[in-house]
Amino acid sequence: MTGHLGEALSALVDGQLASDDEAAALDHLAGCDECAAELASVTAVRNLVRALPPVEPLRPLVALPVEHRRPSRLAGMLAAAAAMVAMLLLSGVQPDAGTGPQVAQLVQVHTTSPVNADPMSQLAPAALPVSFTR
Amino acid sequence: MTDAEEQPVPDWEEVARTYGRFLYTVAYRLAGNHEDAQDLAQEVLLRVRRGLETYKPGSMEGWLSRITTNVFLDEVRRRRRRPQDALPDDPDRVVPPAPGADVALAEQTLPEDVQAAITALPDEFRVAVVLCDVAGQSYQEISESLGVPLGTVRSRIHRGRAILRESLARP
Repeated sequence: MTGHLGEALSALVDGQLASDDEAAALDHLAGCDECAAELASVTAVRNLVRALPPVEPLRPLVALPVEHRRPSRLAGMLAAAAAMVAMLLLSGVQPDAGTGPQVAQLVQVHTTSPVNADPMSQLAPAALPVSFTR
Repeated sequence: MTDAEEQPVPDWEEVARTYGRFLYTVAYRLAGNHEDAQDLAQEVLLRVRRGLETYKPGSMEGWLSRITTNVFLDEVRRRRRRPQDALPDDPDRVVPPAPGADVALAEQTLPEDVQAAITALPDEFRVAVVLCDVAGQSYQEISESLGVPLGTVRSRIHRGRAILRESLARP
Protein backbone atom coordinates (compact mmCIF):
# COMPACT_ATOMS: atom_id res chain seq x y z
CA MET A 1 0.00 0.00 0.00
CA THR A 2 1.38 3.38 -0.99
CA GLY A 3 0.78 6.70 0.76
CA HIS A 4 -1.08 7.26 3.99
CA LEU A 5 -4.13 5.25 4.94
CA GLY A 6 -6.74 8.05 5.00
CA GLU A 7 -10.24 6.66 4.63
CA ALA A 8 -8.99 3.14 5.07
CA LEU A 9 -8.44 3.97 8.75
CA SER A 10 -12.18 4.08 9.41
CA ALA A 11 -12.70 0.90 7.45
CA LEU A 12 -9.87 -0.69 9.43
CA VAL A 13 -11.26 0.23 12.82
CA ASP A 14 -14.72 -0.92 11.70
CA GLY A 15 -13.30 -4.27 10.60
CA GLN A 16 -14.48 -3.60 7.03
CA LEU A 17 -11.24 -4.09 5.14
CA ALA A 18 -10.60 -7.24 3.14
CA SER A 19 -7.98 -9.37 4.86
CA ASP A 20 -5.24 -8.51 2.34
CA ASP A 21 -5.91 -4.79 2.72
CA GLU A 22 -6.06 -5.12 6.46
CA ALA A 23 -2.66 -6.78 6.60
CA ALA A 24 -1.17 -4.08 4.38
CA ALA A 25 -2.76 -1.35 6.51
CA LEU A 26 -1.35 -2.84 9.70
CA ASP A 27 2.07 -3.03 8.08
CA HIS A 28 1.89 0.62 7.16
CA LEU A 29 0.67 1.63 10.62
CA ALA A 30 3.62 -0.05 12.28
CA GLY A 31 5.97 2.41 10.58
CA CYS A 32 3.86 5.57 10.28
CA ASP A 33 3.32 7.77 13.33
CA GLU A 34 1.02 10.08 11.39
CA CYS A 35 -1.41 7.31 10.48
CA ALA A 36 -1.15 5.79 13.96
CA ALA A 37 -2.14 9.14 15.48
CA GLU A 38 -5.04 9.52 13.10
CA LEU A 39 -6.16 5.98 13.84
CA ALA A 40 -6.27 6.83 17.53
CA SER A 41 -8.26 9.95 16.79
CA VAL A 42 -10.78 8.18 14.53
CA THR A 43 -11.15 5.45 17.12
CA ALA A 44 -11.85 7.98 19.86
CA VAL A 45 -14.61 9.66 17.85
CA ARG A 46 -16.09 6.33 16.88
CA ASN A 47 -16.17 5.23 20.52
CA LEU A 48 -17.85 8.46 21.60
CA VAL A 49 -20.69 7.94 19.12
CA ARG A 50 -21.00 4.25 19.93
CA ALA A 51 -21.15 5.03 23.65
CA LEU A 52 -24.23 7.23 23.24
CA PRO A 53 -27.08 5.76 25.28
CA PRO A 54 -30.33 4.44 23.78
CA VAL A 55 -33.11 7.02 23.68
CA GLU A 56 -36.64 6.34 24.88
CA PRO A 57 -39.58 7.94 23.07
CA LEU A 58 -41.44 10.57 25.08
CA ARG A 59 -44.80 9.26 23.85
CA PRO A 60 -45.85 5.77 22.76
CA LEU A 61 -44.95 5.17 19.13
CA VAL A 62 -47.88 5.05 16.74
CA ALA A 63 -48.31 4.42 13.04
CA LEU A 64 -50.30 7.45 11.94
CA PRO A 65 -49.74 10.14 9.31
CA VAL A 66 -47.48 12.90 10.59
CA GLU A 67 -48.91 16.39 10.70
CA HIS A 68 -46.37 18.91 9.56
CA ARG A 69 -47.14 21.38 12.30
CA ARG A 70 -48.47 24.07 10.06
CA PRO A 71 -51.54 25.72 11.60
CA SER A 72 -54.21 23.55 10.00
CA ARG A 73 -57.81 24.46 9.26
CA LEU A 74 -58.93 22.06 11.94
CA ALA A 75 -56.66 23.71 14.49
CA GLY A 76 -58.06 27.10 13.50
CA MET A 77 -61.62 25.86 13.88
CA LEU A 78 -60.85 24.32 17.25
CA ALA A 79 -59.28 27.56 18.41
CA ALA A 80 -62.35 29.48 17.27
CA ALA A 81 -64.62 27.03 19.08
CA ALA A 82 -62.54 27.37 22.25
CA ALA A 83 -62.73 31.15 22.00
CA MET A 84 -66.49 30.90 21.59
CA VAL A 85 -66.86 28.75 24.68
CA ALA A 86 -64.67 31.16 26.61
CA MET A 87 -66.86 34.04 25.50
CA LEU A 88 -70.01 32.22 26.56
CA LEU A 89 -68.47 31.43 29.93
CA LEU A 90 -67.42 35.05 30.46
CA SER A 91 -70.89 36.26 29.57
CA GLY A 92 -72.41 33.96 32.18
CA VAL A 93 -73.94 31.51 29.71
CA GLN A 94 -73.26 27.91 30.69
CA PRO A 95 -72.41 25.69 27.75
CA ASP A 96 -74.21 22.63 29.13
CA ALA A 97 -77.48 20.86 28.52
CA GLY A 98 -79.42 23.83 29.85
CA THR A 99 -77.83 26.17 27.33
CA GLY A 100 -80.24 25.58 24.50
CA PRO A 101 -83.23 27.58 25.57
CA GLN A 102 -81.09 30.35 27.06
CA VAL A 103 -79.07 30.80 23.91
CA ALA A 104 -82.14 30.56 21.75
CA GLN A 105 -83.76 33.22 23.88
CA LEU A 106 -80.72 35.48 23.64
CA VAL A 107 -80.55 34.93 19.91
CA GLN A 108 -84.18 35.94 19.78
CA VAL A 109 -83.40 39.09 21.77
CA HIS A 110 -80.37 39.86 19.67
CA THR A 111 -81.95 39.27 16.30
CA THR A 112 -85.22 41.02 17.02
CA SER A 113 -83.86 44.02 18.90
CA PRO A 114 -81.89 47.05 17.88
CA VAL A 115 -78.31 47.20 19.14
CA ASN A 116 -77.97 47.86 22.89
CA ALA A 117 -81.68 47.45 23.34
CA ASP A 118 -81.31 45.13 26.33
CA PRO A 119 -81.24 47.32 29.43
CA MET A 120 -80.54 44.43 31.82
CA SER A 121 -77.30 43.19 30.32
CA GLN A 122 -74.95 44.95 27.99
CA LEU A 123 -72.87 41.80 27.71
CA ALA A 124 -75.42 39.30 26.51
CA PRO A 125 -76.01 40.62 23.00
CA ALA A 126 -72.35 41.41 22.45
CA ALA A 127 -71.25 37.93 23.46
CA LEU A 128 -73.45 36.11 20.98
CA PRO A 129 -71.56 34.58 18.11
CA VAL A 130 -72.88 35.51 14.72
CA SER A 131 -73.17 31.87 13.73
CA PHE A 132 -76.08 31.33 16.10
CA THR A 133 -78.31 33.52 14.00
CA ARG A 134 -78.01 31.27 10.97
CA MET B 1 -35.04 -18.80 14.07
CA THR B 2 -37.23 -20.37 11.42
CA ASP B 3 -36.49 -20.48 7.72
CA ALA B 4 -35.92 -16.88 6.63
CA GLU B 5 -38.06 -17.38 3.53
CA GLU B 6 -41.13 -18.06 5.63
CA GLN B 7 -41.00 -14.95 7.78
CA PRO B 8 -44.22 -12.99 7.39
CA VAL B 9 -44.27 -9.26 6.76
CA PRO B 10 -43.90 -7.84 10.25
CA ASP B 11 -46.82 -6.33 12.07
CA TRP B 12 -46.21 -2.70 12.98
CA GLU B 13 -47.34 -3.10 16.58
CA GLU B 14 -44.99 -6.02 17.03
CA VAL B 15 -42.21 -3.93 15.45
CA ALA B 16 -43.00 -1.01 17.77
CA ARG B 17 -43.02 -3.30 20.80
CA THR B 18 -39.84 -5.18 20.03
CA TYR B 19 -37.77 -2.65 18.11
CA GLY B 20 -39.31 0.63 19.27
CA ARG B 21 -36.30 1.65 21.29
CA PHE B 22 -33.85 0.78 18.51
CA LEU B 23 -35.97 2.61 15.95
CA TYR B 24 -36.38 5.64 18.18
CA THR B 25 -32.70 5.81 19.03
CA VAL B 26 -31.71 5.79 15.36
CA ALA B 27 -34.40 8.39 14.61
CA TYR B 28 -33.28 10.58 17.49
CA ARG B 29 -29.59 10.43 16.56
CA LEU B 30 -30.48 11.41 12.99
CA ALA B 31 -32.96 14.13 13.85
CA GLY B 32 -31.27 15.53 16.95
CA ASN B 33 -34.48 16.28 18.87
CA HIS B 34 -37.49 14.46 20.26
CA GLU B 35 -40.11 16.24 18.20
CA ASP B 36 -38.57 15.30 14.85
CA ALA B 37 -37.56 11.86 16.11
CA GLN B 38 -41.16 11.14 17.11
CA ASP B 39 -42.41 12.19 13.67
CA LEU B 40 -39.70 10.14 12.00
CA ALA B 41 -40.45 6.97 13.99
CA GLN B 42 -44.17 7.48 13.45
CA GLU B 43 -43.73 7.72 9.67
CA VAL B 44 -41.52 4.62 9.65
CA LEU B 45 -44.19 2.62 11.49
CA LEU B 46 -46.84 3.99 9.14
CA ARG B 47 -44.87 2.71 6.16
CA VAL B 48 -44.50 -0.66 7.87
CA ARG B 49 -48.22 -0.74 8.61
CA ARG B 50 -49.17 0.15 5.05
CA GLY B 51 -46.72 -2.34 3.62
CA LEU B 52 -45.03 0.43 1.64
CA GLU B 53 -41.55 -0.96 2.20
CA THR B 54 -40.73 -4.36 0.80
CA TYR B 55 -39.63 -6.62 3.57
CA LYS B 56 -36.56 -8.68 2.90
CA PRO B 57 -36.36 -11.37 5.54
CA GLY B 58 -33.16 -10.94 7.46
CA SER B 59 -32.04 -8.36 9.97
CA MET B 60 -35.01 -6.41 11.30
CA GLU B 61 -32.63 -3.70 12.50
CA GLY B 62 -31.20 -3.38 9.00
CA TRP B 63 -34.65 -3.11 7.47
CA LEU B 64 -35.83 -0.50 9.97
CA SER B 65 -32.60 1.45 9.59
CA ARG B 66 -33.09 1.60 5.85
CA ILE B 67 -36.68 2.82 6.14
CA THR B 68 -35.72 5.37 8.80
CA THR B 69 -32.94 6.70 6.60
CA ASN B 70 -35.27 6.99 3.62
CA VAL B 71 -37.88 8.84 5.66
CA PHE B 72 -35.21 11.14 7.10
CA LEU B 73 -33.74 11.99 3.71
CA ASP B 74 -37.23 12.51 2.24
CA GLU B 75 -37.95 14.98 5.02
CA VAL B 76 -34.62 16.75 4.49
CA ARG B 77 -35.42 17.17 0.79
CA ARG B 78 -38.93 18.36 1.60
CA ARG B 79 -37.56 21.03 3.93
CA ARG B 80 -35.01 22.15 1.37
CA ARG B 81 -37.84 22.87 -1.01
CA ARG B 82 -39.40 25.07 1.65
CA PRO B 83 -36.74 27.64 2.55
CA GLN B 84 -38.67 28.98 5.56
CA ASP B 85 -37.88 25.87 7.54
CA ALA B 86 -34.64 24.82 5.90
CA LEU B 87 -32.28 22.83 8.04
CA PRO B 88 -29.39 24.82 9.44
CA ASP B 89 -26.77 22.39 8.21
CA ASP B 90 -26.61 23.09 4.51
CA PRO B 91 -23.74 20.81 3.39
CA ASP B 92 -22.49 23.43 0.96
CA ARG B 93 -21.48 25.63 3.86
CA VAL B 94 -19.49 22.94 5.63
CA VAL B 95 -15.89 22.52 4.69
CA PRO B 96 -14.46 19.21 5.85
CA PRO B 97 -11.19 19.56 7.72
CA ALA B 98 -7.95 18.50 6.16
CA PRO B 99 -7.37 14.78 6.66
CA GLY B 100 -4.90 14.03 9.39
CA ALA B 101 -5.55 17.28 11.24
CA ASP B 102 -4.06 16.77 14.65
CA VAL B 103 -6.84 17.70 17.02
CA ALA B 104 -7.19 16.41 20.56
CA LEU B 105 -10.66 15.54 21.76
CA ALA B 106 -11.87 17.07 24.98
CA GLU B 107 -11.25 14.67 27.83
CA GLN B 108 -14.81 14.64 29.02
CA THR B 109 -17.28 14.89 26.19
CA LEU B 110 -20.95 15.00 27.12
CA PRO B 111 -23.47 12.96 25.13
CA GLU B 112 -25.33 16.22 24.36
CA ASP B 113 -22.17 17.59 22.78
CA VAL B 114 -21.71 14.47 20.70
CA GLN B 115 -25.34 14.67 19.58
CA ALA B 116 -24.99 18.35 18.73
CA ALA B 117 -21.94 17.56 16.62
CA ILE B 118 -23.80 14.74 14.84
CA THR B 119 -26.77 17.01 14.19
CA ALA B 120 -24.45 19.61 12.69
CA LEU B 121 -23.00 17.12 10.18
CA PRO B 122 -24.07 17.44 6.55
CA ASP B 123 -26.92 14.98 5.98
CA GLU B 124 -24.97 12.51 3.84
CA PHE B 125 -22.23 12.16 6.46
CA ARG B 126 -24.69 12.13 9.35
CA VAL B 127 -26.67 9.29 7.82
CA ALA B 128 -23.54 7.24 7.16
CA VAL B 129 -22.14 7.74 10.67
CA VAL B 130 -25.47 7.00 12.40
CA LEU B 131 -26.07 3.88 10.32
CA CYS B 132 -22.58 2.66 11.15
CA ASP B 133 -22.12 3.66 14.79
CA VAL B 134 -25.68 3.84 16.13
CA ALA B 135 -27.55 1.28 14.03
CA GLY B 136 -24.49 -0.99 13.85
CA GLN B 137 -24.77 -1.64 10.13
CA SER B 138 -21.95 -3.01 7.99
CA TYR B 139 -20.59 -0.95 5.10
CA GLN B 140 -22.26 -3.38 2.72
CA GLU B 141 -25.65 -2.89 4.38
CA ILE B 142 -25.23 0.89 4.38
CA SER B 143 -24.25 0.77 0.71
CA GLU B 144 -27.48 -1.11 -0.07
CA SER B 145 -29.62 1.14 2.11
CA LEU B 146 -28.34 4.33 0.54
CA GLY B 147 -27.86 2.97 -2.98
CA VAL B 148 -24.28 4.24 -3.15
CA PRO B 149 -21.02 2.36 -3.80
CA LEU B 150 -19.05 0.84 -0.94
CA GLY B 151 -16.22 3.33 -1.48
CA THR B 152 -18.65 6.21 -1.01
CA VAL B 153 -19.86 4.73 2.27
CA ARG B 154 -16.29 4.39 3.48
CA SER B 155 -15.50 7.95 2.49
CA ARG B 156 -18.62 9.41 4.10
CA ILE B 157 -18.05 7.60 7.37
CA HIS B 158 -14.44 8.69 7.55
CA ARG B 159 -15.11 12.30 6.60
CA GLY B 160 -18.06 12.38 8.98
CA ARG B 161 -15.84 11.27 11.81
CA ALA B 162 -13.19 13.81 10.83
CA ILE B 163 -15.77 16.61 11.04
CA LEU B 164 -17.05 15.28 14.38
CA ARG B 165 -13.52 15.30 15.70
CA GLU B 166 -13.12 18.95 14.73
CA SER B 167 -16.45 19.87 16.33
CA LEU B 168 -15.66 18.05 19.54
CA ALA B 169 -12.08 19.24 19.85
CA ARG B 170 -11.11 21.25 22.88
CA PRO B 171 -11.49 24.93 21.97
